[in-house]
Amino acid sequence: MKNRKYIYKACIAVITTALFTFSSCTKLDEKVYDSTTPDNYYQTKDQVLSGYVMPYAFIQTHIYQVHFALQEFVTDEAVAPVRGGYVDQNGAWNRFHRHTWTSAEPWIELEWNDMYQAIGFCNAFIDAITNKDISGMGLEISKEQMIAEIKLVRALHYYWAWSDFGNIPVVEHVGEQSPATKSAAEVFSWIEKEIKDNIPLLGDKGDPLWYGHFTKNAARALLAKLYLNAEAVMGTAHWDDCIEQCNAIINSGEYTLDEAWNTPFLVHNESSQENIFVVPFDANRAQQFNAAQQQLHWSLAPVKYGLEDAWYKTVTEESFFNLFQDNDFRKQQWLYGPQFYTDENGEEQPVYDGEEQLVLNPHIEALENFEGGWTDGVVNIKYEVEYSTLPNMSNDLVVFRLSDIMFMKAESLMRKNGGSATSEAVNLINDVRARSFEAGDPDATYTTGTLTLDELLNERGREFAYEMYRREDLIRFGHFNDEWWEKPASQPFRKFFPIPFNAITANPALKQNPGYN
Amino acid sequence: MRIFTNLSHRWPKWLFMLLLIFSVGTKVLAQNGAVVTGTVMDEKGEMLPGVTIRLKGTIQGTVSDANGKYSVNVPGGKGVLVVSYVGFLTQEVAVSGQSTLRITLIGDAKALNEVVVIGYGVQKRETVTGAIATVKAEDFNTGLISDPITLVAGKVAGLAVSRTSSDPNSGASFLLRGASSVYGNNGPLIVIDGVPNGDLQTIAPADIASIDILKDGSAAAIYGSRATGGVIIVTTKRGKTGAATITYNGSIAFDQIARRYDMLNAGQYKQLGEENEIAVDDRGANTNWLDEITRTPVSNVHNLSVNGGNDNTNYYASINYRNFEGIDDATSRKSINGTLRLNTKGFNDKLDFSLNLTNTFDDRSFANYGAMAQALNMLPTYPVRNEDGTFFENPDIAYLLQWNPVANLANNKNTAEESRFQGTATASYKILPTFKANLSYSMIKNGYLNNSFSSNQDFFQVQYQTGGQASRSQNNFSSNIIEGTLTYTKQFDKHNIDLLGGYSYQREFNDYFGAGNNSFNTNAFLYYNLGAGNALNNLDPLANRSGVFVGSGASERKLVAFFGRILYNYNEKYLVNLSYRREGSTVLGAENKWGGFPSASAGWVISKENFLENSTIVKNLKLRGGYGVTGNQQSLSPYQSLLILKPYSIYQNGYLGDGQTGQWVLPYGPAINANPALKWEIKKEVNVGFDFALFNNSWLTGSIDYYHRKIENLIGNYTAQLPSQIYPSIFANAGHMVNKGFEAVLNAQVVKNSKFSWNVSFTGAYNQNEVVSVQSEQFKGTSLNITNTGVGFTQRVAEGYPIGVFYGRKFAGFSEDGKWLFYNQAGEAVLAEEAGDSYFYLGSGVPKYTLGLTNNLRFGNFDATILLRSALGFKALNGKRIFHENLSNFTTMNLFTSALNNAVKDQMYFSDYYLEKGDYLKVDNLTIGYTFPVKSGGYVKSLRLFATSTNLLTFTGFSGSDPELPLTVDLTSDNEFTVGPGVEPNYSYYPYTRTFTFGVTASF
Repeated sequence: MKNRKYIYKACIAVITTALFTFSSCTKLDEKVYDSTTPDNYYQTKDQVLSGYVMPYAFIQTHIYQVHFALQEFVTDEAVAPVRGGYVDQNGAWNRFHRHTWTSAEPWIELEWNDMYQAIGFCNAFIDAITNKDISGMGLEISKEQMIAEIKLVRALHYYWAWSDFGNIPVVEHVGEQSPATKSAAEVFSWIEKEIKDNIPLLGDKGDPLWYGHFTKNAARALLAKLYLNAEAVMGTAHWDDCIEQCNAIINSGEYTLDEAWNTPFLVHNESSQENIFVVPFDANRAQQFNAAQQQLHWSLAPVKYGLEDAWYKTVTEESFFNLFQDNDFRKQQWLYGPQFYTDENGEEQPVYDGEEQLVLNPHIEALENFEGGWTDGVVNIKYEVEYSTLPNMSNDLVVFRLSDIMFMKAESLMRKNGGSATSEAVNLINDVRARSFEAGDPDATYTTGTLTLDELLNERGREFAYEMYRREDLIRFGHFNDEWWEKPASQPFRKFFPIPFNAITANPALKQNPGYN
Repeated sequence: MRIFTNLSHRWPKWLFMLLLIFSVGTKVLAQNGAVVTGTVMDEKGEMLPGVTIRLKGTIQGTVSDANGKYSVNVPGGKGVLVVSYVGFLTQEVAVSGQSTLRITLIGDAKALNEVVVIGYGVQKRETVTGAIATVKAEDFNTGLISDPITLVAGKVAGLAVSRTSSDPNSGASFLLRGASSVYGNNGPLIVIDGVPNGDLQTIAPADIASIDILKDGSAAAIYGSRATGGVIIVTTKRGKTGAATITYNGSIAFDQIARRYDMLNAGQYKQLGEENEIAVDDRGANTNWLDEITRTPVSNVHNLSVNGGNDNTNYYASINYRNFEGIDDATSRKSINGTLRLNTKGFNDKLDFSLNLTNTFDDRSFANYGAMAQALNMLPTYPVRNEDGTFFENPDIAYLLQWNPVANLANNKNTAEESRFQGTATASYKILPTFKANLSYSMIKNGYLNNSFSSNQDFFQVQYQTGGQASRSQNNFSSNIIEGTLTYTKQFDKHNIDLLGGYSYQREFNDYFGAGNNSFNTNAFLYYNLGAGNALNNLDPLANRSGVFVGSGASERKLVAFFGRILYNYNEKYLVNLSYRREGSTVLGAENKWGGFPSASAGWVISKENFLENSTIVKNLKLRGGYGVTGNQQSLSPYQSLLILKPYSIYQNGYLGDGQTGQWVLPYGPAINANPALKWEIKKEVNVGFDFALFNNSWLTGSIDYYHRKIENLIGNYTAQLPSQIYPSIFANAGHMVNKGFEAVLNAQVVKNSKFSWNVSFTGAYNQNEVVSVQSEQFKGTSLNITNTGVGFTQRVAEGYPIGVFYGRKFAGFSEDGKWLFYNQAGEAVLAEEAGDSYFYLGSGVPKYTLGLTNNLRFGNFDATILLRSALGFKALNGKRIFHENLSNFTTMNLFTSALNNAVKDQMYFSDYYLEKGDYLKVDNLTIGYTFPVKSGGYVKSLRLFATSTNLLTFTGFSGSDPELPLTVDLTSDNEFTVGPGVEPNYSYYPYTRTFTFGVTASF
């Protein structure tokens, strides 16, 4: 009897424990609270649109912060010298300047990561949306067009990566294991086909959602760029293909040259008739275009523009600044010499740097100045600087514009012509150049005799300074490895950046570019 | 030393090599006047003073005097005397009419007869087969304790404790048997009164009764999934049967900076500028900036506890108040803790019910380590204040590198109000005398309210034109734990069996809410009126909205486990311990959520065999060995295996429109690289050791252990394959790591007599760590860069090297014009620009040897303790030298006086030029106490005064503030810069202090 009682109690205990065991459940699925999953998302119009803008928005994070540095600091156009011994980024900018970067360079890794991160966001959206039924949501853009646009954003990043690194892997879905390096020629073919396949699905300028997005002509502009640089990157010329795409853009009549050289770069440059593809920025809502902060001198920015924290990091080599004649309106994009600002009474006042007036010297004493150099180098203000306490700018950053299309066509014509200008080429360049001079100024026009390839490179420098084309231009014109100020001649293999050490480490299927170990 | 040589003939000479002296005494002189008298002695016949003799069931009692004599009043001449003395078995002696009683205590197998807490139960020390260390309250370090783990620093072989800062708001860095993971969670699992994953900050150090450390895999495996870093079991004090005893501990403490950096004064700074033809910005001052932001802090601690009970119920309640001041003007911490423990029996003693409630409230004001570092950067020629009394600032220095740290402390406030609750209710029921069911429910609920305020006069607020900022955020953590166990204990003849089966469920939930605003037209509100900021409602497109935010978030994780254990021994001579835990965790990949964690260990008490039974040398000898598997998933945040979508960034909206009319849309995309293949990190550990007690009275005891642990599927935040992943890093499993080493513990009761006793304890550990591989299907790398101190990466996780090995250039001298020369791969000295990819492995920042030596001395009523700690065999990097010895920084920061003779005149680079030997020996704790003789039966039961100095002396060649450097890598930090083992960074600073504490302990 007593034993039975014990057994009874034991049973209760066992059952109680067992109940806890199974009622508290052994299910271990994760429940999310402050995030969602693709299965539960892209169900409404707003949700689909939030995914569609993701790849576009991501461009904001890297185009000026990183891509600019890799396209400009390796050239004669922009430099970030050491002043008073303050070495920024452990000397990365100097290594860029001297072409002594290694595969461990963090900023090269950033560029690689940014390109493939953008590609990853494109792939993720395409993967998520392709099999979703989004009809009936009331979207003003079709699924096919959204996917085609995102494929163009992807193609743009593949183009940049191809230009930077040459031989790169191509992936179209998130999660593919160990993708292998493809040759620059294979990548070229992939990008070319991708753009061509998708152009018919894209919209046009003037559509309700066209601005800052890939239209047919924006896609053609990218294709033209691909063709223009094909020979320099992979050895096969595509001049006729380039001309064909430029013609299509020019003949579409969607774009006209702005009357003033700087209209495409105003704070409100959304009104430009020349810009084909821009990255829209906003000081609060779409940040990270902080050219004024990076470039303006700290003594000048507060009084002239209201910006207290300016870095005076990025300036320009004297030789490049000297390309600009005094009668060229485009010289207005530089701040040089004694500096003034207009006070609240409308009067011009000198800008003081300590006790003395700030004078920006075109001559930079040294790339690494451990004692001073606090005012060495002219400053670019091509993008209009708005009076604002905010470091981020609201100007939209220009990627493709009509004048470049005209230059590309002119260059292709000249290269087809053995490097000499044709009258068609000269006219195209003169059409752009005219607005930068007083009417009738004889300096405004080239002839087939004066427009040599080297002069075309110089004119590209004047027209497209700080537009992130200088690296490609120097490579294409054969001057990238030249000796210049504070830079010895560099080896030809430097036209490509090395595949980042960490990327190869993580994926042995990637092959390092020749010349780098 | 000489004076001791005549005290005992049996001291081996080597013991004299074991340094200084002193001993704990907790003795109270006895008073005569009773019915039963006698003496207490040990087995050898030596008289024992200070033995407690209590009449069972009453509060009456006494203690033996200096000659071992006692007398106690036994009403009616009948009763039971309970005789207890530290280090001896407690005896119960029946009294029936005798007037004299000679009591012989059986002793000195003391370390062997303790009860050891092993997780879901206790075990006699004698039958333990794993590597388990126990430290009781009487052996804890004294002084000003802000992190309870420092109570046992230097007391446990293999537990490396590094007090990496003297900031009362920061904890110590500790590692058990070397690094156990390459990422994040390296530390042991903390179990407080049976509640796993507790927070040591929840309990007051004064309430801790003992700390048990389960070191090897076989001992820790019962805690399965979180035990890879070992398990630290904290047991708090509970009530003792008898009338209420009130105990008060109080102390007051002062700090001083233990070691200062020698910064240039204004004269030296100007001299250096002149010598090098660099313009000096001389504002006519000579300021010692560190003096300007530091003080002599006064801290005080008060603990009041009461405990008592009868045969059925006992209780322990305490209130603890601790008020810490930091060495800097900003730091403080006020902590108040209330604790209640209740144990009661019912149903004919079949039901045991216990309730533990602990609640702690902390009010903290945080140091600004950046401002402390700025005190070393600020030029000595600058004044603190302008002539008009306002703070001096110089925004004209490039990159805003000169900002006044005194002003910064005055204009910024970072505080937190924290509350921590832990409650446990446990019921156990004896179904049969041998069969017990146990059910417990525990809840942890912690809340942290963080507040931040920057005045609109703050330098950066002015520079960035943000007009003052304020923010608050509330973080909550809750944990609910249900555990049920069944135990069966039975003795058949000489077979002892102890079976355990159980189930455990734990759910942890974290949530967060925060908001901030800027642009305040008054500083009067601090962070108490966020809505008053103008920025939130300023819809001007150019309004400065930095600091304006509203955010919230939450995450959840669950663990479910089944476990069982068999403890078996034959006659306490042959010992076997088997356990198994099957555990599942939500944070792992769908296919890999469950893991199995078995262990087996065995022991053989050789001294119980016939051939040793009568040995005069070997009193106890036990050989033990074990193998155990444990896991780790705690390093992983939830949701790493899921493809989750989140808004990308409120600052990166996408544009939808035609350029004229349009809208900005918050973009959504994948928030992480999902890794559905995530699995358990597994540690497999072999441990072999022996315990011994030697010589007469077992005056020398100790143990030696060897372990080999292999940690597989290392969880890390690895470089992702990009493409085709989206983000540059991914949480994955890759490779394996090995830790092996030796641990030795020696305890010698050198002298023990009525007037004088001296006890020496030594702990020593050797650990060798090697990352064997960091490769897997998902990560093909051979190394990971980990530590960035501001001049690029300086450390790595690399195959074939210990975790956190220094990696960088090899210094080869300076060129004639003072430029760096480094060795290239061919061994030639070249300029930095030509060194290309010539980087080398330069040694480890984790100490190979950690040693501790405790001397306890008692001399009459005086007692003294001296603790020496040492860590040897590691490289240390003083990151401040890279900056403060470099002339290129002359205009933007002050330099060390060493720059007068040895300034570097080239760009800053990290190389082995800056690596130093980190070895140190510390006189870490020196305590002297005096115990007053008290009358028995009076109100005062005991009274002791003590004085302690911590961090008293440091012997080291390291040039930094202190060689007690971090032991682990902080990879979880979102900062651009990180700290690794053996690294003192430049960007943050908190001086180490020497502390003097004066205190009293009294019970009533």
